Amino acid sequence: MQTEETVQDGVLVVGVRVPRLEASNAPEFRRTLIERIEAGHQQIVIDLAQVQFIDSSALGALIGAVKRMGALGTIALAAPNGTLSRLLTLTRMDKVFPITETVEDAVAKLAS
Amino acid sequence: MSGDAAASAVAPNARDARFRGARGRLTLRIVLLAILSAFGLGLAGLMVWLGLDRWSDYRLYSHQLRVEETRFALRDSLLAAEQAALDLAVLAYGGEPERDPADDLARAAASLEATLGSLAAADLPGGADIAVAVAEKMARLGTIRVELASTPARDDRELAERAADLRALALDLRSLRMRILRAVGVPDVAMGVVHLFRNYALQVHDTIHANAAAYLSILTGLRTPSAAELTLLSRETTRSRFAAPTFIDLVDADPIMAGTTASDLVDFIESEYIPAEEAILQGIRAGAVSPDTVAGWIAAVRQVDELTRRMLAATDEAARRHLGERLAAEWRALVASLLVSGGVLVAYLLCAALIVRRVVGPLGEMRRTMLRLAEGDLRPVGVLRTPLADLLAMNDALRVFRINAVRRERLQQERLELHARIAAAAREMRADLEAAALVQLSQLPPPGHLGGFRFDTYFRASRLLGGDTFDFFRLSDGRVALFQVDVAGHGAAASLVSVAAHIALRRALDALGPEEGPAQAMEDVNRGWREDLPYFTALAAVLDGRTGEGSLVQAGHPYPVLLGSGAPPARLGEGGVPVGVVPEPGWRDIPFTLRAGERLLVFSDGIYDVQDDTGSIFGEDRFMDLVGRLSALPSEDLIAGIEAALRNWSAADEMFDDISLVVVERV
Repeated sequence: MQTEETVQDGVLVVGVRVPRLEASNAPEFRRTLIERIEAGHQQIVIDLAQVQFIDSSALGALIGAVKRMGALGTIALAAPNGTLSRLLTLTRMDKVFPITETVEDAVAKLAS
Repeated sequence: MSGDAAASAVAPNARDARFRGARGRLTLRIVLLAILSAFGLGLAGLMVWLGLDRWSDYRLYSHQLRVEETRFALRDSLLAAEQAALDLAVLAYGGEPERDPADDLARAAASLEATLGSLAAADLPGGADIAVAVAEKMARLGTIRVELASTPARDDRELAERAADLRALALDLRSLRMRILRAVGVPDVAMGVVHLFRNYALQVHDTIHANAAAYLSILTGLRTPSAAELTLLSRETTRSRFAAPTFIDLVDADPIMAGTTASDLVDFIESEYIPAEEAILQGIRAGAVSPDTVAGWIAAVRQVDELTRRMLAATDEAARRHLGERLAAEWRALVASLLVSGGVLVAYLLCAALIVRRVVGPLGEMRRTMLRLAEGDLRPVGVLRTPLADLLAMNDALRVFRINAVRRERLQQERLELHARIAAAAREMRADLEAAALVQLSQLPPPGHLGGFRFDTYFRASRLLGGDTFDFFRLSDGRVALFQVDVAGHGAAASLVSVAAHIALRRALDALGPEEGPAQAMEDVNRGWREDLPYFTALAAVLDGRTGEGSLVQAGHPYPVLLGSGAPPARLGEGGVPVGVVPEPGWRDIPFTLRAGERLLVFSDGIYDVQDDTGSIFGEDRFMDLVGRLSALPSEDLIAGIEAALRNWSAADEMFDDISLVVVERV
């Protein structure tokens, strides 16, 4: 699975570079996130700008990552598009993740 | 792998035909055998040719020896006839003959008889004609003997005529002798010299006898010679002197006649005979010849005879010895050539047998083994009986090929067995899953009426087992509870989680008090949900059939749709966190009312997620439109219409996600 990682102000930004997050790539996505958390990243922004579709398995991967991180750090979701946004609203993920409209907003939020 | 498959895909029959086709063509074995045969035939031909060559040489000398016997006999008769002629002439002159002429003639007749006998054995070309001529000479000799027997002892003229007849006969015999010599030729140069020398000796002998006959007839007074005739006679004798040195040298040079010398005869003629003859000639010219002179001369003639005979005998002996030696040599050569031929032939046969047994045989053996291996016959490769390292190496390679083939076959066998085991395991697993699916389905309630509501349902798992489940049942206070669960993922794990969620939710709803709503039940489930289990989305509702009032709680599940009479479809709910995500989800009951004939649609997100062949999902908006269009239909037909639309949209036969739908209608 293609991801693009950068560190901005001590925040790890994981850009998802595939159009669909679903059962076929969700386990790998989950593994990637768990590895970053275990490597010591406590502030992680997931850039969803390029993702068109996300299914319940991928949502499970995000939730799994948050549970792994626990109270030590924060995972934020940035720039979800319409469909994603609707799903996040439906499942009230704003109670689980900080959700921002841009990556910069998320980085600023987490860096502070 | 794919290469093996392709090779084994060739039909066995076609492969056999291909190898059999190769059997008709030229093989190394045939080439080797052909070369061996050609070489053997050539060798045999060479041996036969050499043998025949030796045999013909042997035959030549053996023939020469037999012809030589004929010539000896003929020459003996010739010499005897000339002896007799001389004795008769001496008798006519009144001298003393050395022997009785009749004895000489008997000897000549016997020799001619022997000539005839040996002639038959000699197998000469033109031998029959010569035999006829010899027989004729025998007849003439017979006539002469008869005439001589009736001739009076002192009739000089008659005796002289007999002597002349005999001399004529002797001349004929000499020409006959030359015929024989010409008919057979000379086998080698040494024998040529022998013949030349013999001819010379006979020529000298003849000349002297001719002169003797002439002088004796003059002395007897039978005729009177002219002076010219006398000169001619004297030249006749002296002429033979000129050739003498040449012959002496030839005889000395000839290897066969080593030890023989011609000089005795030549010296005698030179020193004794010619003076004696000249004395006679002078006496005749003077008109008076003393009887002593005549007697001396006749003695000299007889001495020439004797020396000639001695020389010829020595020559004959040398020729016999030479021919005998050559014959023996040719015999030895013949035997040696036969022995060598035999030896070469035996050596060749041994070599050929060795090549056939140790090369041709093993080659054939290896060819058979290769064809056998190619046809899949994996019996062990035999031991090759050959000293040739390359053949042994090839055979070893064949052995390795066979071992590899055996190994491959074993592997193939193992693979097939493994496949069979896997297939059996898969069948078993599928049977298990089918049984589990039956159990899962049995959890779902059948459609029907319950507490003033009509429930219609649709359930379709994307695989045998799904993560979706739902239930509706009556609570102890008379209300009706409904819930639907969608566990993330599909298959056995998801279905097991869905069973756990099903049991937990049903238990929590059953435990609700009369004033409690579904949010309380959901909170209970969330609290008891183990952290390490996957989250799930759910919707739970509690409805009162008497008033049509109800409340629902939405935990990550899609918004349910309210189908009111005469109104467009409306979404209910405000969203909510799925179960098992956060400890404090903050759900709350959402009240709603179902009037008679109004319907509530509760479904999992599988309906939205059905994809077409471009990957576009069916989506919420299309679903709302669809439900709006179908809203006039009774619930069963509504469900059928939704199913048809989803099938139409779906690119695959199987759905990507589990789909479940429950339609609740207030009756």
